[in-house]
Amino acid sequence: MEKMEIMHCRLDLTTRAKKEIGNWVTDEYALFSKQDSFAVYIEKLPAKQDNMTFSFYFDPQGNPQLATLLNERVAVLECVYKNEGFLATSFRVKGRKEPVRTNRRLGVRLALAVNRRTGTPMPIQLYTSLRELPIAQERSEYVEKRIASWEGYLRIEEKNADVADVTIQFSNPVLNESFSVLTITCHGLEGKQWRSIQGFSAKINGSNSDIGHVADTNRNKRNVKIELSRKSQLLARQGSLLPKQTGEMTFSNFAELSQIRRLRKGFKDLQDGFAANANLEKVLFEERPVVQITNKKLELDFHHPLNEYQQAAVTGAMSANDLYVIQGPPGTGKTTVISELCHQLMKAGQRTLVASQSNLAVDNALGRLLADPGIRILRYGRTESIEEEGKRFIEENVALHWRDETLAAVNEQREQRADRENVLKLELAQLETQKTQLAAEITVVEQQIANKHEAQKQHRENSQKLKLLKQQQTDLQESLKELRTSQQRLNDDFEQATNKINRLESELESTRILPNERVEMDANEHELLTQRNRIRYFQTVEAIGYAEMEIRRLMEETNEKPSAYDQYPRFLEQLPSIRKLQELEELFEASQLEPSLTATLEMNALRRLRVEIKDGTYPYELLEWREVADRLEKGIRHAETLLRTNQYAIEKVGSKKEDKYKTPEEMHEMLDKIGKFFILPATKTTLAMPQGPEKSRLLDRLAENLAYLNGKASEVAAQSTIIKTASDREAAARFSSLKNEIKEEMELDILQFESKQAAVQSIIDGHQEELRRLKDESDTLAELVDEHTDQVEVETRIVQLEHVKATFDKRVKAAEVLEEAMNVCKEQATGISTQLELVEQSLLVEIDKENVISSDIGVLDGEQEKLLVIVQSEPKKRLEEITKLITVASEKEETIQKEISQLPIAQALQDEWSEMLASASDFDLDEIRKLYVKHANVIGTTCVASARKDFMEEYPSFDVVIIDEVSKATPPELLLPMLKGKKIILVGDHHQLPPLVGRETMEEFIEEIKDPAEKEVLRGMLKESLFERLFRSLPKQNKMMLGIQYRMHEKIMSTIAPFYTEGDYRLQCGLPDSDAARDHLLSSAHIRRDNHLLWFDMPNEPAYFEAQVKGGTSLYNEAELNRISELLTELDCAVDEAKQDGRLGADKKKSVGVISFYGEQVKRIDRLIEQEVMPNHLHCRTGSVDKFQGMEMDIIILSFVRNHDQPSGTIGFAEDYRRLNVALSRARELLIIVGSADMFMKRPKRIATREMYGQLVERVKAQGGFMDLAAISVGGEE
Amino acid sequence: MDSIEKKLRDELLRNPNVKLLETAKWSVPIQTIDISYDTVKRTKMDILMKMLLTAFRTAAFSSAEEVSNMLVVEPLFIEDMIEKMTMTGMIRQTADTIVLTDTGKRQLESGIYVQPPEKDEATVHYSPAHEAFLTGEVEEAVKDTYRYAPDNRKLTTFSDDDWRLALEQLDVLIHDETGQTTIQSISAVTELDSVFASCIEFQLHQVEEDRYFVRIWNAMTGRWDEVLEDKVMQKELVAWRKKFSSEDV
Repeated sequence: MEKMEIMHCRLDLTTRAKKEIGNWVTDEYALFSKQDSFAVYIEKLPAKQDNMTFSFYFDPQGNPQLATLLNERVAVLECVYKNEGFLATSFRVKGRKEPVRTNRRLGVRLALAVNRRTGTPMPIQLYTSLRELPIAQERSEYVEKRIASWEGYLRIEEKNADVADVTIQFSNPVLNESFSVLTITCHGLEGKQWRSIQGFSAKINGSNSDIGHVADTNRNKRNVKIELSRKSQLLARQGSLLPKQTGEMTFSNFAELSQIRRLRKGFKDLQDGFAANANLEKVLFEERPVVQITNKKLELDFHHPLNEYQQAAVTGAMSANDLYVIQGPPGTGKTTVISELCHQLMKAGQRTLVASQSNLAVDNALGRLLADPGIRILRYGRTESIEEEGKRFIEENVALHWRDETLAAVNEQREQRADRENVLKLELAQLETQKTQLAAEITVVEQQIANKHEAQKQHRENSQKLKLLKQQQTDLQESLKELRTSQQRLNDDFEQATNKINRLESELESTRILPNERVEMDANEHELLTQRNRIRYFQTVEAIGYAEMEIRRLMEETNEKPSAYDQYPRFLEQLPSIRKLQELEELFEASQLEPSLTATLEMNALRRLRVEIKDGTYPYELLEWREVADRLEKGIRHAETLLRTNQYAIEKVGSKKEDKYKTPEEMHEMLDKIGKFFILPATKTTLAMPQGPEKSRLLDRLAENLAYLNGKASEVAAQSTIIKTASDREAAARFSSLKNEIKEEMELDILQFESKQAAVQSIIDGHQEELRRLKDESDTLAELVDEHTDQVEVETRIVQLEHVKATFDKRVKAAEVLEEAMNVCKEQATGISTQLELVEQSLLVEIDKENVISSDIGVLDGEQEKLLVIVQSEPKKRLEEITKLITVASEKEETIQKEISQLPIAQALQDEWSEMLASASDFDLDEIRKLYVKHANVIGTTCVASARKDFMEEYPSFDVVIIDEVSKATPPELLLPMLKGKKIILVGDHHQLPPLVGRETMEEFIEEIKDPAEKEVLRGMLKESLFERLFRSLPKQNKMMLGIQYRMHEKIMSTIAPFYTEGDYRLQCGLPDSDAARDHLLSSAHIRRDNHLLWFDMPNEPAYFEAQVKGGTSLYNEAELNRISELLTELDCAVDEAKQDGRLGADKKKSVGVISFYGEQVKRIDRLIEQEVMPNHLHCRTGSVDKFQGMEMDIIILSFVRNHDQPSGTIGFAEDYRRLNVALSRARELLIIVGSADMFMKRPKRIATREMYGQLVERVKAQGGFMDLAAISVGGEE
Repeated sequence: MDSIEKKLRDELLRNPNVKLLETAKWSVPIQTIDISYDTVKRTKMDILMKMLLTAFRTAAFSSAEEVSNMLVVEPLFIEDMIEKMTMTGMIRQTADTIVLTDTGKRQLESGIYVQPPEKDEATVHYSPAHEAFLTGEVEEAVKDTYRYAPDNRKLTTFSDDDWRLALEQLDVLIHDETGQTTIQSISAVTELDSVFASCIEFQLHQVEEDRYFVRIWNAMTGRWDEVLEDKVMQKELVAWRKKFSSEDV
């Protein structure tokens, strides 16, 4: 705590907190200025409004000034985390015993800045710790329930155990023959008390201590049997246990009660956070244990020889965090593993608690640690209840034990003293020799170092040279390579060129023109020329013919002028006078000319126009006006008719001019109006009326309209005339232009004709010129030709000649090409061979160079190799080694010399020490005891004793708590030592017997629960084996099952193997040769040397049935007792025989355990052995199967007892496979079962039970060990 | 029948299931030996501290380990002691050795001798039958001797440690505030005439369980003697069963 780093943080206070502080000091400043910093244990509370909330517990020990002020009481400050500081909301002072340091709280040293709004924020490391701090009250529902169930159970137990002391008067005390039991006659015990005082401690009033505990009561005889403690047994022997014949005795259940209270306190401590491992409750009570898994495996150096499983278990346990569980079937070396663990933990400087449910188991485990010198064992517990094995380690004996051991060791050394000096001197001499040798070696080595220097220098130089040479070599080789490549290439080229030349030459040979051929060729040439001229002649003659013919044709053509042309001038002469179209047509006809197409089309158009103009259908305008004129005329007629009909004088009606309607459309509009007026009904009506003013008016109006129409009619007529005149003019214009066109056409025609005539004339002139030339030529050639010359022959000849010539020419050409090619090739070849010469010269030079360099390199390499050996040698290192060796030797020498010089002193000192030890007084021993206890590293105690107050104070926690025989302890018992361990290692076997949980108490507790489902849950939780659950649910890193057993002969092992078959796991026998290692060496009527498993069968018949003692509940079986008696006698004789035959040492005894499922049977076996069989060569021990758990014997006789014909078929205790497992697995060499096979195989109701025993019988039978009555009697007769 | 015998018999027969078969009286021979020895009285200084001081005074030790090897004591103990003695200023560590301070020297001196050795003498009783030294009242002679009494043991077979043990049983050593007396040496042992421890033997039968057993009261030690009882039972039970069961018939 004092070494904790001080962390600064702000503290604000609420008014309430200030007021509450005010109750103790003037104000908060007065309080918080008491100390510079405070040791505070911070507990996290459930968050309030999302603010982290805490309780600060001020540790009185860590805060002396504050503690003085508060009278050693504990101050508690409730705080909320705010604005990177704390806000105190309340302040309380609790009692002195208020727990402060728990594993749920964070211990820190805080320097508080009070009421300072600003300042440094909370250190991040404090903040992080606070965040990670679990909320102290939180715990999973499952854990809650499980813990609650055990608390409930213990509450009932405590209630039941909390019984007032019973004081009675007694008389007639009687001791049994072994002084172990005192029977008294009791007065004053009431009805119920006879039963309830069972197990109570008994104390004679007036004496200081208990004499033992109540073993049995008999109400009828008014007897109480008290099993005496060992101390009381001694007193009884001295006759001083009971000074008087009567007296007062008090029975008390206090021991039991205090034990239960301790168990309950265990749960309270767990909840209050006093477990050394904060994770404990989660490990133990969570549905799946919450352990920190580690995959890291420590490398250990084992002290004991261990098998693979044991090694794995020790390594696993050493590497694990929190918890490690070891499941160890019988004989698999659990204790060896525990020993090794203690050794490893001792080496790691850790303190270990070895706890177990029973004193016997604790002592057993400790007994195995003896041989380990580094281990200092302290056995804690009531001296009384500790077995011989553990007695050496109880506090009052450790000093003596230590003294004896040390004295023995010192004396041993003293005895070896004389030898020691010789040994030392010899060693000294050896060291001297060694040193001399080393010194000599130094000179050599130093020379080597000098050599090495030289060599290094040389080596370096050579390396340099070599490097250079090698570079040169490389360069050379490179250039050589290049040259060779060139050479190769050139050679190739040259060969190619030569080949080509040869090929060309042969070709040329066949192509070249020979001289005779040349003459032939010239002749051919000449003839060809002649022949060609001849042909030329023929051609000229022919051409002349053609030319003349052509000239003639052209001449004729020119003369043949068409007649039409003659008409043209006359026509043209008459044309201007033509005025009418018809006249024009007549002219054409007369001139026998055809008008051109365009003229014809225009003439047709004009003719049509003429007609249209005449009809008034042209132009359209005129047509429109004609329609208007027609309507006007109609209107006028209508109006005139109307007027005339009505005797209106039409003659008087004139014409009226009006400008309103002008265009044809307007006229039509006007006419429509007038028309409508004419046909109006009113008009008609009025007209139908007789003359009258109205009718007159209408008629006037009609007349007026008529006048109007008349006016319009003349207007229209005028308009039509204008249009017609315009059309006539247009037609005349078109006619005149037609005439012009015709004229132009004709004139053009004439012109064309004339120019054509001129062209023909020019061609004729050309032909005539040609003709002249031909005639000249023909004249020259004519001499070559005579009348016999045939053109066709000449032509054929020419073809022949030309062919010959072409062939010649081709050859000449080809020869030329070849010659050319050959020249090129030859030139190339010459070039190549020149290059080659050069290359080969270079090559020779370079090869020479390379050879020189290579040999240089070879020489150097050889040199280097030799140098390297020297360079690589490490004489310096050797020198160092030698120096070191000399130093070591000198040191050793010194030590030895010192020892030799001190030998007399040491001898004297050791003598003195030996004497001192021998005469050590109580005071000395007490001092040694203190020293021993202080340095004790393995503490052994029972589970329950580990919670005793003085022990708690002396040893609040351990690095590791190892609990042995875990499966025999109840969870509350286990919890007590577990609370003390930072790491817990559990060792046990859930296939052996479980702890005794008070069933009545359990039922009573369960009854209190209302909800039936809840009842079942809690019942399940109370019934389950903590060890088994942990073993099944822990990750593989946290558990190990030991797989190799060394106790039993493999045949015996085979009987329990089925209980351990799980998945791939099979129990293995670690004895290399069971028959040799577990030879019982006995041979008798019923037991052969190779028998290791025997069953002496009892018929399931009344004569062999079980029986019950009067007034008791336990069972015995007389028939089995008789068989056991015979067997023991037989065994005793067999051992005697084995001794006489020398198979067994004369002073050896066989250990025999005679065990049974029933106490009464055990009691009778005891008597049998002590009073009747009294074996001389057997070391017998008896007990119930349950008591024998953890023990082993050479031979085990197991009495089944149960044998009856009741319909229930019950076999009682024997039904539990775990009990059978324990019973079968105690024997090393020979297991003898005495019981009824039929009873166990056939009677039980449960199939599984029948099968279990059936399997067992099968196994015995398979080994030839099953003996029915017949077999037994036969054996007996032998 | 003397009173003690009657008292013992009544006590045994208080159990209605027990039948007394026979009673006998005899004596066990006891060797009487005079031991002469020297004692010294020393101040209270425990031996380990004293030994260490002696060692550091006598020789040059540089480490706890050296001392540990010589004394065959765990280094942890030695280190603890050295620390303690350094703190109380009895020793100090120089360059390479541990030396005593003046205080240490004084302490050691006073721890060794307070008074010069004193000669003393004591008489012890050895029972060959028990193979142990017994304490208590002895008698000069008695008519019957224990039927399985072995021969006397020769004094030469005893070691000094045996004598020390015998003397310790006698509580001859005095411890007081000023110091502790210890036996420094045994100077001489002399055997005197043998004496006897008288015994009363009751042969009994527990009828209910058909158990035969014997009770032998040793008057010298004043208790039921388990060693003698066991011996007699081992030797005679078979014979008794034969004898008494035939008598019953």
